[in-house]
Amino acid sequence: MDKSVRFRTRLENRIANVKILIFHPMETGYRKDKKTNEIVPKHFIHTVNVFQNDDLVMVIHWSRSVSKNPYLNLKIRECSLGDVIRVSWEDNFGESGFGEVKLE
Amino acid sequence: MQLKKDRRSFIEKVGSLIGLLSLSYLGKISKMSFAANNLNSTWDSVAYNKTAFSEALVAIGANRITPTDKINLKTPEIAENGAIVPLEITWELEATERIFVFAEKNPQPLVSDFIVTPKIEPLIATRIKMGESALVHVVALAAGSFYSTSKEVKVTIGGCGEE
Repeated sequence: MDKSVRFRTRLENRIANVKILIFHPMETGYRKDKKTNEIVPKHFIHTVNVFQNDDLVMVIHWSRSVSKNPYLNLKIRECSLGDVIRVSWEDNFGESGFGEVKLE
Repeated sequence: MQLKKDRRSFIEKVGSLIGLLSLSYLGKISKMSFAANNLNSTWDSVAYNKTAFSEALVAIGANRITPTDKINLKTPEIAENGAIVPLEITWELEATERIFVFAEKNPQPLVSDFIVTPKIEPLIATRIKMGESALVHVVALAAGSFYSTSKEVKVTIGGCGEE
């Protein structure tokens, strides 16, 4: 597991409140590097998958208009203690990341 | 005689058990096919590259949209920093399959889309960038129809050329 995904979770009445932070530059392709004065190429996460254990429960698509270090809050139904919430992402450079957290 | 009765009740019990099992199995299949239909859709480069809001709507198939108060969009009225505009979306529409977010005046207005399953509570929060003051539109696809709500966000410093 890499360190690109951070979680904060709370389980209440079998609903998991999941807050996700992904460390990623999310470059628009419009920004100029202040030192080199060159345009920084667009670099953004386009797809995020959210799993409860092995079940895919949500798919998110992003554009370069999503903020740097993207934040996501969602709530998953019918969760139990010990369930594992997994997140995987992929960007336009073909890079990817993964993180998971156990509900406690 | 007693034996026969027992046997009958046993057969009845097994029968009802099989019935129950097949029902729950059918439930599982319908959930799975839901997932298969929607969760497989990939990043739509056509829609995401449209530079006009109206064209992006056509690209996602939203030719007819009904405004609704069953989608609630919470944003700050004034975002001082366009690089971080927090959004919270909640909805009360039945059978919601997908939520799209547009910032009307961004170079590419389609910002994000969320493919939701019945496992998801109707709440999503995220943070987006906005180049300038504009309407933010949330479009939901629910039971085959498109619904929308919009809200104006005033941006003091645009966030597209910034980090």
